[in-house]
Amino acid sequence: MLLALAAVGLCSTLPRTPLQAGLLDAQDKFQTFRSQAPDLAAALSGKPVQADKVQPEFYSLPVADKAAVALGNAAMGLWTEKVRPGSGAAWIRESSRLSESDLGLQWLMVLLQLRNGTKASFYLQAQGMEATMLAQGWTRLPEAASWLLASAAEFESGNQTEQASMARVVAARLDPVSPVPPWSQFKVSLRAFDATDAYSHAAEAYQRMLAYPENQQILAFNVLRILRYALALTCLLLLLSWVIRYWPFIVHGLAERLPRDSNLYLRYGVLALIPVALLVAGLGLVSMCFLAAAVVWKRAKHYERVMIGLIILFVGFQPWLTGLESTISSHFDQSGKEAVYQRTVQEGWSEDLQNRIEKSLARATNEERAILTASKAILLRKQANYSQALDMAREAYRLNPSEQRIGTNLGNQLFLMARYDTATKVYQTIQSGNWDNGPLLFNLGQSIAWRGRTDSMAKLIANASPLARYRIDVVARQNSNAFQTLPPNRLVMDPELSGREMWTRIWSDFKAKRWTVDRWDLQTGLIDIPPESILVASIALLVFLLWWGNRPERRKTLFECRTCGRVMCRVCRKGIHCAQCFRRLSGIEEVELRNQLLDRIDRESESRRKLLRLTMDLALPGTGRLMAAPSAGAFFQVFLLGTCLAYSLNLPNFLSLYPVSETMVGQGVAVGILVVLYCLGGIQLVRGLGKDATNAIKEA
Amino acid sequence: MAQALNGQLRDFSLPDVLQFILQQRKSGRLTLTYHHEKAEVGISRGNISHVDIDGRNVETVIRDWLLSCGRMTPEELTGVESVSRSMDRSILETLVAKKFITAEERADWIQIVAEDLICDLFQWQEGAYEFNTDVPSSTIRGVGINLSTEMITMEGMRRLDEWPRLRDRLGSPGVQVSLAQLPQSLAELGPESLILRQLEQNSSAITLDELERRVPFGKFRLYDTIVAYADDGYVTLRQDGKTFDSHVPISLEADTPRSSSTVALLAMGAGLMVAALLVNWMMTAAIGHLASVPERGFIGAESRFESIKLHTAIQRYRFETGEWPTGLDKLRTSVPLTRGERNSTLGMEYGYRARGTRYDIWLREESSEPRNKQP
Repeated sequence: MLLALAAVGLCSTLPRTPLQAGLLDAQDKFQTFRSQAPDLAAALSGKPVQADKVQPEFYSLPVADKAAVALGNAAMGLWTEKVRPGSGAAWIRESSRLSESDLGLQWLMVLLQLRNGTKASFYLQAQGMEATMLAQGWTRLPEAASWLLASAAEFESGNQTEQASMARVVAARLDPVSPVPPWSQFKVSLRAFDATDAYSHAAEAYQRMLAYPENQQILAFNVLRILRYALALTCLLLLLSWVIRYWPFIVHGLAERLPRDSNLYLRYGVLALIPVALLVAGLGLVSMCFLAAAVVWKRAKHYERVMIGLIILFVGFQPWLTGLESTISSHFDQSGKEAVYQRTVQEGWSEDLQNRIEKSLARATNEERAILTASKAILLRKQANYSQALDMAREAYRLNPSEQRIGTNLGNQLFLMARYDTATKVYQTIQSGNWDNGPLLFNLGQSIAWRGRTDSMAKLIANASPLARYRIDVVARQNSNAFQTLPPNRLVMDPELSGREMWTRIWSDFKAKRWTVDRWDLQTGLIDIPPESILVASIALLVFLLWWGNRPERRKTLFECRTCGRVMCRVCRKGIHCAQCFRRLSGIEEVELRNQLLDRIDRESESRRKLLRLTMDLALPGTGRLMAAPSAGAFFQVFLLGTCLAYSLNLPNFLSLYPVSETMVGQGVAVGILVVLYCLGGIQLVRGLGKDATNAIKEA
Repeated sequence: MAQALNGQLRDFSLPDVLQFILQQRKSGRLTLTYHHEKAEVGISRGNISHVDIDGRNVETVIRDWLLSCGRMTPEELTGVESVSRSMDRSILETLVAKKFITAEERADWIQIVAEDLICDLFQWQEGAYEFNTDVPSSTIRGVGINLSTEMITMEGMRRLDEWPRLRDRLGSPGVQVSLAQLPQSLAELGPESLILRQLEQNSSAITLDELERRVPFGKFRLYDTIVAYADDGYVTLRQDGKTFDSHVPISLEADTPRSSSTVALLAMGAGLMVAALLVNWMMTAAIGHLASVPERGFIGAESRFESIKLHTAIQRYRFETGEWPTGLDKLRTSVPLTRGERNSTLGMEYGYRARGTRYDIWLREESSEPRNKQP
């Protein structure tokens, strides 16, 4: 406990992104602004204003307080746009210019314009924010886009479709990488039966998916995980149904040791609490799975043993499957070299990112050092330290000259230092017929163009593959929209891995086992077999079960009552009958009466089995069918249940900043299937609960 | 000889074998052997038609009883046997013809003795069995036994179940039995009333062993009947000169659930769950605190994304409502965060606190004072 208490000190606050930190500061500034200019603040907040006080308040704002003046301009723009559309543009542009170094303030103004302004004022403010974002080295702001999509969903539910549409458009601009914003637009267009619009948004989402490998990684990770969870859930359900089916056989011996003057089913029930208690205590699902397989094996039929064997092997390979997921997700983690490089490419300077690079460099291997040094060069360049950035780029090139991204980065630094010919040579060395690399072709084109050979640049871009052209188009469009405020940084594109290269690296990392899986990744429970031992344990268990299961029993220890099917042992059996049937039948010598009684017992036992099957079908649709009469349909039903449950539990929304309502495609369908499955289970139960089953309940 | 079925009784007990043969409606001879003992059971269409255990069968048991109780002399028996042989019929039929026993007595004795002999066989837990279908029909027919296999199986099991209690109560060597009073009508008591008649002939008490020799019943039937008569007050039981209560608790108590055991079992289950919860709490506290939070791999990635999503949700909540959320569970609406996203992938809950215009989120809710330190 002392150790535990000491470890409490390890916890730390979760860092905010620069945009989030900036928004908090901006809200403080807005509070101050409220006291400086209450009516202007009211205009921004969408509250009634006294028209005669607006202008005096604006002119009384302290000139040195840039934030106050920026907010004042935004308020004036919003107010005048509402009064006379088109008249507030200058104010809003001025507010953007005044806050061009303050992303948080820009963001606050965008949000206020969205809620309280007009379409034109919102778009203008968003344009200013986009320009600031690009100027500060950010290529995307997914957290802002996520916020806007959440707002769009709310507007949609409040029938404010125009505002919802505006929010989605700006979300797509603030995050030009993720396919989620265009996908969201596609869904809305589809609901509005606007096929043309829907097609263009779907095509845009598809292009983003192809052009940016990280989207493919996120998709692949989530698909892998949902498949793994669905299969794991199916395996667990299968094992559960077999354990329930064979439970009396498994625990009868133990049940006989409990007070025998109590109901046998109650004893079975109390013993069933043992595995439940193990689960509650925190025993992991891997251990539980092995335990279930071991107890069921001896009773299982041949095909069930085959399936249990496959389940054990599937569990044994869990660390490898998780390892593949871990390899993919390592490109997004907190200190991996690829993750740090990708953040440097997409984000502007922040203290957190700089610390992360320094920390990673401090413990990097030689192989990792090159790309991390290149990351540092990019960050220095985004801070306008061009000569230091060039030194760093050279150092990175010296460490690993074969890496394309590092070479391109060196070319970029040279280009920004106006050494166009050297930069061109570096680019051309790397290019050598590679027409898929958008950033490289863009940079090479820029380098050629700055030497005045615009025709060669045009030819180069024309030869680029469609994907490369798409990426070039995005940057070119952004640059032309915000050309007035852009720093030299925007003249080059930071190199990234192509899709093929990225997947090759992931696969080679996976094969070389450059991944680790610990108990956090498996998430099975508090106490479980260590991940590195799971495969060995599963093979050992399987070998043991094959040996043990094929050993002939020295003597039969458990039997089934021929009359009612209850399990009985040598102690409790009464010949061919169980104790209960024996008690009911003994002493009745009249044949007709006995036959009637036998029929009744038979009906009751059939009803009991039916009741158990229907109850299981209601609780976990398919497991009852599987227990009573295994068929391909029953297996499919259980798999469908497992998949739909896994999907409905919001599993496929990892490594994403977007709300599940946007990323979970077809979640409604999954929930619908679940509802249908459970309704069918309920109907079956109600229909199946005839008089016999009711009697069986009473008997039980 | 066609051997249809054989095996060991430890694998398939006699009731199982008999039940199987009954289901198949087979006829033949079932031979049981255990060490030097051998038993033969004739079976006709699944039901029992003959029984012989080491030379003891219905005829020999009745013959021996008639001799031991003095209803017949050895000379008379020799005559009866020679007549039976010459006329090729069973001794019992000749006994009826010579009026040593009545036809009703013969039918009763056959039923009773055969039942007792078969039930004795159920005590065989070890040994081999062998069922042959190719046997002469005369052997199977025997003396006219026709016992329902199903009935005899159940009766045999009942006897097995109740025998230990009867034996414990009456099996001591010194137990004597004497007649207390005769019932109004002996005929109503059935063939077992023979016991009372034998006791009536003796003015003093006799031992159970002596009584056993005077009646053609098996031990179980004898003890069971004596207990019933003692309960009804017809006989008195004595041991060492003292009378004792004849009541033997033969009711099947186990079949009636007792509330005390049920409560004990339920309490046991509840205790188990409480213990499990305690273990879980301790393990969560210990493992959660002692493990370091990984930065790499999936957890490292997802915790970064989770953190950003939580911050966005909290800030949006404040922007929309003007106040901080009172807890992370309030964030369902601001940015629709699922329960999974509001909790850490590490399996621990996030801590959250808002103060003035600032707020903090941190991992491990147990901490009351978050530190501003990078994870």
